[in-house]
Amino acid sequence: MKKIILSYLILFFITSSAFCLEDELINYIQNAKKPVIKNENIDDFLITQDFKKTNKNKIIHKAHNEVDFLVNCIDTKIEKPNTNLKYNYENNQKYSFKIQAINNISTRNKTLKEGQFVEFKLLEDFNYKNTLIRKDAIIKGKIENISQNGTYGIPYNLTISNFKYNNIALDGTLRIQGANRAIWVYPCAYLTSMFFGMGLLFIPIKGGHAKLSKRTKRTISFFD
Amino acid sequence: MKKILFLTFIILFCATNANAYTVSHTKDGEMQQLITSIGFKILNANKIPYRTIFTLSDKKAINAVTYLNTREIRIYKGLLPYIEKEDELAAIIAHEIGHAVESYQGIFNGAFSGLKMSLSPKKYEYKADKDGIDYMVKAGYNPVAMIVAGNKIFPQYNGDMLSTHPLSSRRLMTIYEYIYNKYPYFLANNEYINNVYYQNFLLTSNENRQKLKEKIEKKSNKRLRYL
Repeated sequence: MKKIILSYLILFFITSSAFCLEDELINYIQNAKKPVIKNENIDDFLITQDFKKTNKNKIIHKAHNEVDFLVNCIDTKIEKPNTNLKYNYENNQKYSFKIQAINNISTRNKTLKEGQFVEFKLLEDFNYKNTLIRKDAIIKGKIENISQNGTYGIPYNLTISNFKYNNIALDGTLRIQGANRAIWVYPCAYLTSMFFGMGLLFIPIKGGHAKLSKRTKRTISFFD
Repeated sequence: MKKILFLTFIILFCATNANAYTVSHTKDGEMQQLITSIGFKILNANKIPYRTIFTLSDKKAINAVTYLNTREIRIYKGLLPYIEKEDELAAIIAHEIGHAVESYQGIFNGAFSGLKMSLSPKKYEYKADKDGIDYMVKAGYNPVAMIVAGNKIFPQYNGDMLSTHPLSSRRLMTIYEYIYNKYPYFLANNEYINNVYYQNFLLTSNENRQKLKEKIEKKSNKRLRYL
């Protein structure tokens, strides 16, 4: 046993010293002066001086940059968007407020677009950081994302957040989803696919539009 | 004697392990730390209340994936040679966070989210792009980097009929339109305007941008079908 351990140790020391030697060699190579390579251009012997003179325009060409012509069409107010990098989530308090849309909101409405603000009515008094926002106050919410419906009955999705009352920013997100037809479309497609691929007929069926009626009451909760 | 030898053996064994760890820590470890820090910066800045983790995978494919059951975002090593700036890496991570957040939506804490995403994957790719842009802006990154990174890594297929992902040119233009409508500041003060990859995007999207220009001038709300 002693012999085995001793021979293992000796072998270990030999190999580790070999590593050291290798490391020293690497250091030596790294510290050695690198040969200076002169960056000389090699002339293409086919392009003679006469050729250069006659074909000057062909050889010399300016670097051409594309221009983003759409930037001139920006008609909205150009403001630097706010970031949220100074946060401290140590003492978070939960807030909730109840709202109701002033007008019907639907993705069927073609004028609805991302970045647009929609209005809501506050249904109950809301105390936010020692500021009382009275019932019936108008709260604006920004349409963040309109996600189109998809095949197999997948519905539209609409996300509204960045709520504002005057200059007070309120967090929280309102997610609205259209009629989810995938619940019946997918099983039907799966089962009928056994009959001569009839299931394929169900694939193009799309989901419903995301709607929020002006009668619907929603509660938004967030931590701040 | 036996005890001394045994102790030396253990000490040596531990020392070699420690060395091995330090060596591996220098390269992949630093990259892993960068990926994790960007990921958590985006999660915190956007107050995303869902747990997500970020890992670096040894796979050589040019890809990044989100595991919907474990909420784990994996960045493949094959992708890293294409990334030049932190903004570009943030764009990829932000897009994947979009998928991870989506995986929490729906009944039973998003138990069927994987199914809905596989039924209509293109819709959720567009959604993750848009969500990713919002996340980037809140975390202080430039969203134009998503176009730059995408232009380098998205392959351009003949069409997207049978593909799980949208046609890349269409996808990049949708990202552009979203930035144009919501965050025009980054296009008006575009720090990527002289970037060779962004210039290539402008070059290849000329026709699509012309379409968008006509839409803006006509003040139309029609949804454009990009090439």
